[in-house]
Amino acid sequence: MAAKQLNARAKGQRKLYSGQRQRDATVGKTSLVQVLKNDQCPKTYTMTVGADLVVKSIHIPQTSDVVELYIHDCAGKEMFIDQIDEYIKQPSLVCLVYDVTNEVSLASCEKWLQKVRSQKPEISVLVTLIANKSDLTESRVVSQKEGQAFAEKNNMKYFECSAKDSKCVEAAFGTLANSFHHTYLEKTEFFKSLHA
Amino acid sequence: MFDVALGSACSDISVSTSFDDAHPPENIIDGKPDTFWATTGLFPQEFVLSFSSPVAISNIHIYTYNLKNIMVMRSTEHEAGAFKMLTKKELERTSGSLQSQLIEVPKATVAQHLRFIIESAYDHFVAVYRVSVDGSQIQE
Ligand SMILES: Nc1nc2c(ncn2[C@@H]2O[C@H](COP(=O)(O)OP(=O)(O)OP(=O)(O)O)[C@@H](O)[C@H]2O)c(=O)[nH]1
Ligand SMILES: [Mg+2]
Repeated sequence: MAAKQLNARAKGQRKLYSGQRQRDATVGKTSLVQVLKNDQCPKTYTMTVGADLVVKSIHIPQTSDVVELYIHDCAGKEMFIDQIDEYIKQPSLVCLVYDVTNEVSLASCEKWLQKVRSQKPEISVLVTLIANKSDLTESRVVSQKEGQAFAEKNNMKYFECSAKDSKCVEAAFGTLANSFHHTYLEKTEFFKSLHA
Repeated sequence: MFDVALGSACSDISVSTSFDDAHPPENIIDGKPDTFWATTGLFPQEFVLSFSSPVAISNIHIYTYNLKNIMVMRSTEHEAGAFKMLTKKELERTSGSLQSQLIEVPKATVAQHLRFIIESAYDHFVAVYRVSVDGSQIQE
């Protein structure tokens, strides 16, 4: 999967690695990831082929810990699905993205959710739902209520974002990183109750 | 025959892919049953157990949690490198008690470094509580 650091002995700092995946054509996955990484939304559309890896370190508030997100920005186009399968085998976190001006893109989030949850049902994976392009109020067809209801029904956190206006992008990914960190603390706390 | 992995002058975890101050890799060989090394996300993860001089190994015992597939390699070089495959194991999932896995090795297996690669797991994080190695130091 993602690259790893041999001899990763950064003292005093806890680094967590979490892979995560993004989905569906032209909804703005690459734009969101670029805003997160470079604070800049790409001006022109380039179709993602296969999956691009973007690494982003997120500091966890009130700790000296860092969660390093290995984000696999997957191609949305169906034709690349075989290349993506590899990446969705064992994700740590999943971020589903739809476009609020495109009804079909929300429906396909449901499809992707099933796929993700059926891979390794024994491992619980935190999934968030991003309603992107919230700046396009005129052409919007999926309401906030509809998106939220879908998220709630499927136990996902919901974020309304705009890559164009850099709105809510950090909050969405920050929440993912925080949850992963929280899970780590919880699990290691449990590990402490066991012994050889 | 004795546990040559016990963290003393003669053994050390020389490489590890995760490091959390609270659960450092040294915990694998500190001889305490309740301390562990935690992996901090993503797989594969690995650590290398190094001896100060070559050791003749008869078996290896690992105590873990959430581990699924592990591969063990050995190196006879002074500097860790040129690892050769020793064995692969798939462990059963346990809940609430540790996985205890004996890893038998061919007779007269010699190694100065043992590399443990955790290829997959039953959860996002794995804990390695202890690795004990039955063997004896080879007098050079
Ligand atoms: N108005 C508006 N346009 C956006 C927003 N985010 C992305 N876009 C535009 O939507 C188009 C597709 O964006 P990408 O980020 O490449 O979409 P993608 O989901 O990565 O597409 P694939 O890689 O083909 O799956 C581009 O023309 C972007 O400029 C947004 O928040 N608001
Ligand atoms: Mg893209």
